[in-house]
Amino acid sequence: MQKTVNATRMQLITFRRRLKIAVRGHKLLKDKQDELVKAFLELARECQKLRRDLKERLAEASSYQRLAALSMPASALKEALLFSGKRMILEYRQESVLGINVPHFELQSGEAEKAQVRYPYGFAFTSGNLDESLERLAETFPLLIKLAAMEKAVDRLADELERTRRRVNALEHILIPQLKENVKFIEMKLDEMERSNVVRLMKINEQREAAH
Amino acid sequence: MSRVAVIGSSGSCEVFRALGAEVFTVATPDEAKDLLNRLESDYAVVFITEDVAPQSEFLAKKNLERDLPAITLLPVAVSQDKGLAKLKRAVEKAVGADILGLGGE
Repeated sequence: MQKTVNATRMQLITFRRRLKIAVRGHKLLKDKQDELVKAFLELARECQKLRRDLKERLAEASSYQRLAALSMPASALKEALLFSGKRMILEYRQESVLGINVPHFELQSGEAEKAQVRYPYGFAFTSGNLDESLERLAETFPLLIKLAAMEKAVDRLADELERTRRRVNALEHILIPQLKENVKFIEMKLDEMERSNVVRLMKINEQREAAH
Repeated sequence: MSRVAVIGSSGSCEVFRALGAEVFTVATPDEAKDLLNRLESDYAVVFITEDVAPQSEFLAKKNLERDLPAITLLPVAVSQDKGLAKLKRAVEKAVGADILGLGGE
């Protein structure tokens, strides 16, 4: 690497100051990274568990739906699900995990309504299996909403973690060694100048004494 | 603003309509992608069934871009575990290796 460093005391002070800041920044970022990893793994594990659980529940619900499809005409099934009087509204608020915004959702359709499904069709022409399927789905839905928020958080944390790791590595392996080298270079250069000055003075002294 | 959308292949997601979510049926991942681009400013949560899901990189990027919506893959009857694969990719991106043993793909 080509050195374009001025070997002056002023530069030395500047580099020393930068080095100190870099080391402190590195420590802080490293702490942040550790904490992020902890939070991320916890979340990812939870996410994995929830997803597995949900997969089973949804499979169950859809098996009821398939049973329903067997026992009633396809057109009737389609018709039954064509319209819904209900609209799902979520309550949304932002939460912060280590300074990263993650969403939090809550179902807003009222406690009483949450407990039971409002079937959007008449019971005369539909199969009981369809009711069952809907009921299972309604039970699962709050969990699905939770999963959505968690997966978003996982994506966000993963991104932040990757960026933090890059920064930590850049500081640790590039900036800090470079600054250290510069400091060492200037120190040695200044020492060298100091020594040559001393030698020069001694030499002059010697010559003066020889002349007298 | 805080509404719920479900994007899925026809037959797999109509039931969600009965629960109050808004259901959009598509046939291919590309259609789902276009639809997602159009829907993203109007919904808080978008579920996409795995059988028509676009690539998980695309979805992860979408999740980073804005605060809302939260996009999540929905397992369907014939599950391909794309949702777990996506989670696995996020773990790999963050820590460097799949240390949770998520498997998949």
